[in-house]
Amino acid sequence: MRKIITKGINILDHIVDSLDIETFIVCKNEKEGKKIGVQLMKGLGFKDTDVVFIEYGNGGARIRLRANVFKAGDHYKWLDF
Amino acid sequence: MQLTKEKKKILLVPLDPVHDVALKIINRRLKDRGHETILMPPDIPIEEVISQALKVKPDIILISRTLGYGVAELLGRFIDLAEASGIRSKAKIVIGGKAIKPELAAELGFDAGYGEGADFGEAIAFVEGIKYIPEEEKIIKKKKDITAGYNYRLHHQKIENMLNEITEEILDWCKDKTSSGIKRAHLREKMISLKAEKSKISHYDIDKKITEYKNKYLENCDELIIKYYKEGILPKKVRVLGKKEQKSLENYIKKSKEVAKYKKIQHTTDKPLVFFQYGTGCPIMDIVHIKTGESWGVDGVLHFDPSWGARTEGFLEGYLSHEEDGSIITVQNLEKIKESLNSSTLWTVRAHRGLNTPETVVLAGRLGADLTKINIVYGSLNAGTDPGRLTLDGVEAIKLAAKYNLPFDEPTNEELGGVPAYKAFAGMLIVAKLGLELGAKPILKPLFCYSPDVMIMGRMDDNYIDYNAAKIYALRSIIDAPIWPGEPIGFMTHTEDRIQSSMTTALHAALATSLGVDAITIASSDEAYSRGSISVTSRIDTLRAVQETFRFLGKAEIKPTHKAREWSNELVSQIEKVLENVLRKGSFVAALYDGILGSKEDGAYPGRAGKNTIFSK
Repeated sequence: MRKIITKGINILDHIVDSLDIETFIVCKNEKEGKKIGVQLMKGLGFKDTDVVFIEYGNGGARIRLRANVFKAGDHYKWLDF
Repeated sequence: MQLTKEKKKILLVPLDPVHDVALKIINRRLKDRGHETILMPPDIPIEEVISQALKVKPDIILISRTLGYGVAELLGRFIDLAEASGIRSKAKIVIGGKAIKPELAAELGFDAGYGEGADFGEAIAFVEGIKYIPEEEKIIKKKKDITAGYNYRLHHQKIENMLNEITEEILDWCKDKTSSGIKRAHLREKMISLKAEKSKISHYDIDKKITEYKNKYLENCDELIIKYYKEGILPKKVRVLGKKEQKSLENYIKKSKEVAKYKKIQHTTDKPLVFFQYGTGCPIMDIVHIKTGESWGVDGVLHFDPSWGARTEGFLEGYLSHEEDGSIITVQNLEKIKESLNSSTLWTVRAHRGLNTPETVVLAGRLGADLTKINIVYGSLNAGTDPGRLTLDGVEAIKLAAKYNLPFDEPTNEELGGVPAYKAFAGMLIVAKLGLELGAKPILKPLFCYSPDVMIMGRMDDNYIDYNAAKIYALRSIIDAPIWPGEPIGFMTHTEDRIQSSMTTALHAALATSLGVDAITIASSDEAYSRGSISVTSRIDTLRAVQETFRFLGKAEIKPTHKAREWSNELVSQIEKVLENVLRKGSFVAALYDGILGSKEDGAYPGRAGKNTIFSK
């Protein structure tokens, strides 16, 4: 999992469960949009990711990407703040 | 509208070319409260304002200023003129508006200043010399009884007669039978009662008795449960929360209660109450969902347990977290969740569908839940429990619900499997009548959904309104009972699109308000997202959407077409026919096995969990 450290604290530890990114990706079709979305999340350093929603329109896709930071049953770091 | 005790004269002055809406609103409110007001037109030179003030001799001058340029000079000059003319010593002068900062107002010599984001109530409180209390702090949420005001009378004589006969047969069938689920429920009652009698009985005797009861309890449990108690082996994907986590959770609950502010989600109506189901798998995460929901106005929550829990005889114990959907029912998990709840939040622990139904009602009753959930028919036909076993356990659970004064709702989720609404309703009415016979308070729970039967029959080809409305009309024509559509509303209309999902929930909530139902269960905007867990923000999405819908609709109504009444009449006659068929069968349990209340062709399958586990008393 990616870390964003500020003053010794990983800022991502403040996220209660997941980080969603909503954007519009220029692409040829839904398949390509999905691929770009996954690459984007990977590039941002997230490992446990998913495409929650994608909808292709002319020339691009409206997409919601999710990075799971803490899942049910994990040890939640935010509990200590 | 509350009238003021001390009437004041107020001069309202918009010191802008056009921006006078805020002052017009304040003017109307002050008038409504009995004050004498004089509202000047906008864009008046300040000399003219002074001259008017000298003429009318106000107690207070309220000035508004939206535009920022030259504001300090203009207002400074106004105060100078007010002082020079003698007005300053006779009237209090207040300034408000987007261009104003309270510090600037104080510096210039105004008695008060209200900037952007201020509430009209602040100016009114100043006029009346009372302490301003923000709207959110005025919200005192009180726990509501969903069943209050209903007499449970049946309006349909023929249906009433048939329900009487059917319920009599069910109670007669149950009277000489028992099950391990019923035995555990009563052992659980004894164990909880013992703990409460610590002051009267010695620790030694309590421990001895508890051990005795626990051994008997384990005699009635499945291997999975016995292994945990005897060998400490947990089911897969389950772990015990560590001591540090428990401590941190306590701190979290304490802190969240200290900063708690609550929102009322309804606008001008009291109904419907809004519920959501939690069951992330982890009690800590559940509590985060609940506390977030309370902040955004949720009125009640339902505990959602894992499906394997319903197919397992007996409960585990301890603070347990589960990596998959559904939060494990243990005394400790439920106690912690209860501790976290705001005093106004209604709490349902659902017992409806499995092998632990009576014991769940005991836990709900003894641990302070407000409601429970029991539906023998749904649990038997679409949730995997043997019809005979669930009829027996369900009747016991209803008796326990009556004993603990827990109203119980009856979900008709068999509709989602394909069972037509009229069959699901016939089953729901039988269980409701059983509830009434046994002294309990049932709550009818029709689905607001785009069910397979509705799709096949084309009942929602035009709109989602008519058939859902027809369901409410039909039930109301049969019985005077509370109605709580669920679970969640708009089932099968949601997609993974967050906006669409929130919108469809909100529109179904609007229909619920319009129909005057008592409560609704709403989904999150992650409802249709099945590859991961429901996020906290997706909870907020739908709560905000529903709040906005309530604001939009107020006391106005959605008008269904003539089809709603036609389909309502059709539903009532179809329910009649199903009940006739149950009576003809001569046995409710046999009717369940034979598909009279939902067949294999419909998409209902009699459950197998707990088959052949009924004993003679």
